Amino acid sequence: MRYGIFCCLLGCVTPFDPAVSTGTWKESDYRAEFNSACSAAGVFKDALNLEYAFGEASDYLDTGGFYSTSIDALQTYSQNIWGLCSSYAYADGAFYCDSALLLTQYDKWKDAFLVEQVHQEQGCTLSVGSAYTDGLFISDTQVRLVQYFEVYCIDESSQSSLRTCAGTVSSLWTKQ
Amino acid sequence: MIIHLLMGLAFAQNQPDVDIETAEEVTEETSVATMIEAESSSTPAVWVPVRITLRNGVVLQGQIDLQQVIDWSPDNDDILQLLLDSGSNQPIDSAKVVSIQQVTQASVVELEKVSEPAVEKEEVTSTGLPEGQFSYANPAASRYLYAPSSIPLQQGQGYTSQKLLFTSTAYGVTDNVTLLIGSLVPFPFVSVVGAKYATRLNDDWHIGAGGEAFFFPFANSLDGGLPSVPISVGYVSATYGDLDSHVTIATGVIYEQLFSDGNIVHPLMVAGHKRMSNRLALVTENWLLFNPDALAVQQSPFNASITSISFRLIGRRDQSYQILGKMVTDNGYPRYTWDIGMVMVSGVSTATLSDPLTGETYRSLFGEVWNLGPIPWIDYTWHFGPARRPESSDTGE
Repeated sequence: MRYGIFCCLLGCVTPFDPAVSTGTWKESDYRAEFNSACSAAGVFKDALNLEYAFGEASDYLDTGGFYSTSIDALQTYSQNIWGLCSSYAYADGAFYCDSALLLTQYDKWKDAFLVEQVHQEQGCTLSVGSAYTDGLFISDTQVRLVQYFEVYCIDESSQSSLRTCAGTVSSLWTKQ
Repeated sequence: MIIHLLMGLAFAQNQPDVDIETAEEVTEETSVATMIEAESSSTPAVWVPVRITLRNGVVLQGQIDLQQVIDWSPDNDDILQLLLDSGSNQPIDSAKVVSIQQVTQASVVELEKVSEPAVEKEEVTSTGLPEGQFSYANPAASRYLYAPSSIPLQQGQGYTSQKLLFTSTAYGVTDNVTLLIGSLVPFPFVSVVGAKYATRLNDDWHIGAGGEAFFFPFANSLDGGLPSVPISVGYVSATYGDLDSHVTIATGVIYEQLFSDGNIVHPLMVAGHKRMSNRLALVTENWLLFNPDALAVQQSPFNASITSISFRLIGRRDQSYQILGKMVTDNGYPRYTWDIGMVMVSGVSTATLSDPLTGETYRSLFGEVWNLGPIPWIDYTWHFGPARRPESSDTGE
């Protein structure tokens, strides 16, 4: 009823329904900016064909979040995004994730990633530092994301990072 | 509809400088003409009940010889003889008089019969007066619950208002310019400064423009990145009506940094004031807030609304002036008003996402409607400064 009143007077307002998130979402339209020691801007291309799924819609209000320094652990969430993210506020379509969702698909783009190359060459340990994602359902077919992450390659003997990549990636998800 | 005060009132002298008004309707002119004829054809003086407003704001009530009314001009040296309620005669320099107002139904009273003053008490209820006429001026025509009307305070007039925990003071530095300051009390976490310019166009219309800036006085000393000036407002407004019954429409720009990094909202405010009786008025103030950026993504630009309805109690009047030992409470200027009502706030919460790499801000098509209220609204206001001068000199022109 209250929505109806606003529809009549000032245009419709549609509350976000988590059921909108069901289905497969394809990522594209990348823009990236990384620290100078990590030329990673060319890593993220539409040709990667990264696809995600939010999983159970009922989980989207889960505020437990998930944080891990392990990329392998993060990669178990690429088809269960609501397990990693939670909604900021009811019904406005915004959500927040305690990690960068790109890291859930790390194996698909790691070959061109400088830290991974150092990891392969020198055997240092990959570790995720600060990371988050801000997401917004623009409509029922589009999601905009801004992701930030830091990935280190830690030398176990010195406990120092041999290579660090830190940067921001913005992208668009389109429902398939 | 509701607005028709001061229209058709008054009799006035022909001299250009004369300012004589009555509180009666046009039909009274006939009575006055009759009185004039009576005066010229018979010797007894014709006394008319009047209210005389002095330059110092004091209002006196009594009876005066009609011929003196006819001859009166602020430029001459005549001494008006005002017959007070007490039966004593009070001489008044013409130059000290701002206006002379007839206050009763047509009454022609011969001097010999004035042993009992014929002046009506001013505590006349609305039912005792023709519709739209009241015994004393409305002191709060310059504002609604929060928003100002385009009717200005006059020079030297002001008020201090306590709205829940917010205290504000407005002061008319000229007949057209009003300054405002305010703050939360007792802890001034939020304060406001503002200014309004307003002027009268004609009997029905006033226009105004102004600005207000809300600020956090301690923003720099607190963590959390609070902006110093979270909300600033610029507006233009137009008011139709008179002091007692008027409607105002206003619009402008609100720049807020409280809920965003910097967001422009356009308000549309419609407010009304309807005086129901000497001591009671109805006030409503209603805001719609629009964000034009939403149109670019085919969204409703509606952001929020604020609606309100309130009774305004026009309270006790002047007690500070003593005239011949008498308190003038009964015919003084109202000094207190109470607003008692309710406020309802509704809005649409729409999420946005800023892309730091492109500078673009994306807005979701989804939104959430929220409501807050009804919230009780209580406002006590003390009006200070001189009594309001007649509207004809409002413009300061």
